[in-house]
Amino acid sequence: MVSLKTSSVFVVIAMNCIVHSIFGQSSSLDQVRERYPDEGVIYLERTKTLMLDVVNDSLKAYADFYEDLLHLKGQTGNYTKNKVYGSSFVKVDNIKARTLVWEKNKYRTVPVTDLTRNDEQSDNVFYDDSYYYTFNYPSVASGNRTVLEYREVQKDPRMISGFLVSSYAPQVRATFRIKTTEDVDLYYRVLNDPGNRVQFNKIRRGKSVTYEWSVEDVPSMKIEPGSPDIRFYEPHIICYVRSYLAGGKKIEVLPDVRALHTWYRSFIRDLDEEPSEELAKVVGTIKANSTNDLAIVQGVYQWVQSNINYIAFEDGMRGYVPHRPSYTCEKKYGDCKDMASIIVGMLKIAGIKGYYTWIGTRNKPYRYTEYPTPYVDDHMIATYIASDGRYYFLDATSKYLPFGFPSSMIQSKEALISFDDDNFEVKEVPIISGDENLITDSLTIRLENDEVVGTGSITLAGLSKSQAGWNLERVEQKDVKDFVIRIAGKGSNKFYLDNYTISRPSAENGNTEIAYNFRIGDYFQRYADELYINLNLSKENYNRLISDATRKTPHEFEFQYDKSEYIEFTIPEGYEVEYLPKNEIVNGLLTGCSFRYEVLENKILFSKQFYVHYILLNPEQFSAWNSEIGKISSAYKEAIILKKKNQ
Amino acid sequence: MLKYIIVIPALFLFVNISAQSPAQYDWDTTRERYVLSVVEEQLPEIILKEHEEYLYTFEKDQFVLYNIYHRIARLNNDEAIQRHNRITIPMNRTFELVEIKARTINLNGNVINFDKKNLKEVQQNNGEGGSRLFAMEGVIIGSEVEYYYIRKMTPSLQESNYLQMDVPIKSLSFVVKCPKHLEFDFKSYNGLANIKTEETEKENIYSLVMNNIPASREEEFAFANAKKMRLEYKLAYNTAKSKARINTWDDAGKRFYSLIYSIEKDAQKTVERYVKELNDNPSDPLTKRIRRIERKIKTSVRIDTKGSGDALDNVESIIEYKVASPQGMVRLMANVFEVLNIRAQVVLTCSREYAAFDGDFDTFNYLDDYILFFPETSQFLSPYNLSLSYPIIDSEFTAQHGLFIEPVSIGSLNSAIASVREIAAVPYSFNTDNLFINVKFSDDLEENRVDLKREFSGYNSSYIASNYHLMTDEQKLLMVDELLKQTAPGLTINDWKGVVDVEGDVDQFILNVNFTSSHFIERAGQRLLFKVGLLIGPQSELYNEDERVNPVENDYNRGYDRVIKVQVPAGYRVKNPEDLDKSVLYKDGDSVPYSFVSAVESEGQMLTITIKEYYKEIYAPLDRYEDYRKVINAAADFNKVTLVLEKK
Repeated sequence: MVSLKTSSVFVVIAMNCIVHSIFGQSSSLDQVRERYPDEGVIYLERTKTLMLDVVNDSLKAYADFYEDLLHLKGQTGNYTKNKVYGSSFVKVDNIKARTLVWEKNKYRTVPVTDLTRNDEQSDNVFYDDSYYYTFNYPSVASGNRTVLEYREVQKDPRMISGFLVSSYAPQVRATFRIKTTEDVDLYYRVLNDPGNRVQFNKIRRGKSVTYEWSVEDVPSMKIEPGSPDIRFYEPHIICYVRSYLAGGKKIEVLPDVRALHTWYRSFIRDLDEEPSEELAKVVGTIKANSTNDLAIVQGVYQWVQSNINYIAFEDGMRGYVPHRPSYTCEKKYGDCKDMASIIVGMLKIAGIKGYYTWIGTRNKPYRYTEYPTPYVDDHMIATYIASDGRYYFLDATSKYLPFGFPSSMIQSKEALISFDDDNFEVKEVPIISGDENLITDSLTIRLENDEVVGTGSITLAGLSKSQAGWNLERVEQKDVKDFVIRIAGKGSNKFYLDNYTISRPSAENGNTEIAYNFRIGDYFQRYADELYINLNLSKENYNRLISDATRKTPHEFEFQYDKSEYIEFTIPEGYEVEYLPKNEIVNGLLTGCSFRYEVLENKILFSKQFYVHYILLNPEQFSAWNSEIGKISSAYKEAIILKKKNQ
Repeated sequence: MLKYIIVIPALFLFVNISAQSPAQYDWDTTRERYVLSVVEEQLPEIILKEHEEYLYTFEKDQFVLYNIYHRIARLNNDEAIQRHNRITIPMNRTFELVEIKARTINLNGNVINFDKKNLKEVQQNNGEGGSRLFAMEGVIIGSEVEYYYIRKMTPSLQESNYLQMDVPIKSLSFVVKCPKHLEFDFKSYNGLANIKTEETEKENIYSLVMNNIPASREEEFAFANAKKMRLEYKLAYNTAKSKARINTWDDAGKRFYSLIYSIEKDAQKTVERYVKELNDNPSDPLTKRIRRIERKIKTSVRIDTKGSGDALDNVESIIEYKVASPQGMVRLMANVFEVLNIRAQVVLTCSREYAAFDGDFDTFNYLDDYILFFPETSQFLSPYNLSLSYPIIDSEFTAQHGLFIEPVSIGSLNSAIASVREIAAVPYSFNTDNLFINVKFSDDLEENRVDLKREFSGYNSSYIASNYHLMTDEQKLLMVDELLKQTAPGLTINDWKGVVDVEGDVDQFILNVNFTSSHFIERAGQRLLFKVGLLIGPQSELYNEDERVNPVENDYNRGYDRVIKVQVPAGYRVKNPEDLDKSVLYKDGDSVPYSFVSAVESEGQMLTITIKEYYKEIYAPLDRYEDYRKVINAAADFNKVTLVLEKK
């Protein structure tokens, strides 16, 4: 869904050339087996060696990768095939792959001879000029090793990438080296290494310098449901070149955000144009229907949201350079850059300043100030700053996002807002508070025979509304209905949605409303003269405890939200309330809920205010979460008792 | 997958006719937008025109196919736009994209023509496959998008076309043209109109026109694709050579036999050497032998479904390098069984998800996948599905017909006889998910301590049984945790043990767990509400939304035996044990193919609940759908059973 071309920063994997493999004998094999009794494969070595050479006036960058994988279990299916990726910015060269077959106490080399080249195809990017080579290792079996070497030639030294220490298999040793000279001013830093396991060495030999990071005994990387991108928690090394000396002259590469901004400005330099008749007309209409600048901005934003369809083409520099506004207007499709460009262009026609803005989505853990490289961002939006100083982050790739909200994927991220060739601002996008993304569900229910029968009305605001949007615009009505059941469903798997109507938001009222009629079968129990019913028809996050025995990584949530539920329950004729649960309030930092029961004539009024207030939950917060969820779950368990009145 | 392995034989040589001009086709350059009915106007999406032509012709003695594809769609909401604004033209078997035109006609009549320079190319497999891509331009809500393209292709001798979509089609047309000496045979399925044949001086023209085709329907317990209107066709006669029907089942049998069994002499020796590594013991029961050989091969040879190159098909190379194409694996296994004198027949069939194999129409389109049949046991083996083991094969190949290829020897000549027969589904007793549970309450009555034994077999165990040995302890724990969380979110696992058993007649995975959970207990004042029904894990309700259109089709037969023993806390009694007695039977004459029965017995403070649920047959007729639904829903109803415990 996002498209700036900074694809795989740390293309998985490894290493240098002439490292002697650390073993070649069966006794060592036994040792490794003993050390990793459980594993199917382990890397004996994984090395990346990045060369930065000053040649004449320019800086040449290329990286050699080496990986040596030992197979410890019979058939390790997923590891017998490998892929090497390239693109128009990173040329892949000199791929050499082989299997070392353990036979008669020594290794016999069987080379890989068939490489198949494929163009990359993905769901998010319609056309992508990146490619990969794929191949099978022959004769993979326990005790054998598969070895891969290749080179990546970097077209632009501003795009050099660092090194992700962990991989999908455990490693005996992982090494990252940068070989260069004193003339190259390098920034580097190790991230997510609280135990300082990454050993660093800087070795000078004459003018040449080798920076080396190595780690022994690296466990495999953890990816769990809801994990954020691995770069948020797995150890890795980031690096970039500030500048270098060539012929006594200092040449800047990426010394700071200013230089990054200057480079980025070159991508949008040629977007000024005489607008097409169609585009001018669209803006004219919006302007005529608006009373002030903010209304025009809203009109422009919403026009782009509903008229420009998201389609991404990653084709060389097109991965960075947006189309002109009139082009996008004519084609009616574009990627994030094109949408940013058309918004800025349309505002310009209306005489309003909108700004090109680069931003990382929440897939990226970095900040511009710390790591001023293209690896910080992967997205582009437009920004409008209102006269009252409020910033509007206009992301039209989120088709159903209410005006004024940032999309959920850029919350908490730094935006690089470009005012002109020389001026910019780095500004943090706020996290939208739960009450702005409120979901309310108001129900009137009664009992009929063995069923709970009722009517309900759901209102979705903010990012809750945005998230629902696509699901309500489906070709097949069954898909829409399934979605309504998903958000309105309650009680049990015998929830029947009889009918529903959806009110789509207008410009004035941004909320989506869903009115529905429903029944729930076998929900309450009736014995002798008593009747039990639990009014917690929906139990958000019931018992959703996080086991710290199994969960190791943070948990990411799309947005914070509040949910209010109001139930008006008609007490059946001839019954009275025998027992009403206590009111409860669980007021946690991460999540909470209040429960309030009240009898009013022949009705029981139950209201519940629930919330989740995090977008990233770190392992050290798990116990707080569990304690809050435990309390909420306990309150969910309380049922009401009704008893037949004495006649 | 295998359709194109049959090389086009030299059927067409020596037929000297003048080359036809390549396909002439164009759209109506000045057309207006379609005038639609009120109902049609309101549809989120409607296909206004779906037209396809297959033109077989000779160009300078080269036999080629021109394929013309033309579509017009009206798009009335966001998803409809998403589905139609990115067009991918497959380029496999294609020499050339002869023509591509696309345009968008908007509500105001504006026409936006596609600019061909925006056409992109995606290559696969070193340039052997791939596609062309483009985005439709100017599309907004209400647009009519229209495009057609012409591809010059290597001809195929059979085609299969679904001619029904998940949205209505207003006008459908389909044409095949070929030189006079070639005759195609056609068969329409699932309500599709029949092909009309017309003979001109030089050509045979086959065509079909149909209007107002309704959208196909997705239903549970039915394969939507297999129920769609579909056209199968094949080249049946080449009258220039002979009047005999070509590409018959018999021809298929002989060709596939030769493809699988013809290996080089050296390869034969390599197979014989390889067989010695497999530790076969001829005195073992046949089932045991087959299962062991299969396991040995499947745990050492990897399948590459996408790779190309002869090595993946070559038996010697497979034995040496341990990588095979699916077909290579069939060749390896068939020859291994032959060396071991274990009688096996190659069977070709297709997935039930695609179509019911029609023995009356001999198109190779049905010969999509291989399985092996062992006549002495009447059981099957899936050669290249590594997670299944004999006698469990891909369920979509069962309860289906297939082409059985029986080797015959006449003197020193080896050949094969082909026949279409049924591939029976394995009985329900092979595919179990049984549960044995003992539940106690903690002293404070806040939580339960549960001893749970779960026995998976057959399809239910296949993934775990084939992967368990590759998993680390951490991965195993995660899997067990995931499995149990469905039943009891937030549980604490006190102790667990998992065992894979591959020594029996069918693979099993047996899990023993002891856990603590508060999930099953709710309260109403002084009463305990014990959600005993949740102990069998979440069961989904089969809703009856719209009128059912398809008969019932199960993936596979299956059974669930469950015994739950509840130790009722001292001083408490259960007010409503009778809620646990349920009996829902689907009867068919004297037999009961589907059943859910639960019964309870009480002894002192111990409540013993016994549940027997099974599905013994794959198919149930449409008019018995309601009865079938009741059995399925009985399990979902059981989920709701809540025992009320009160102090004595």
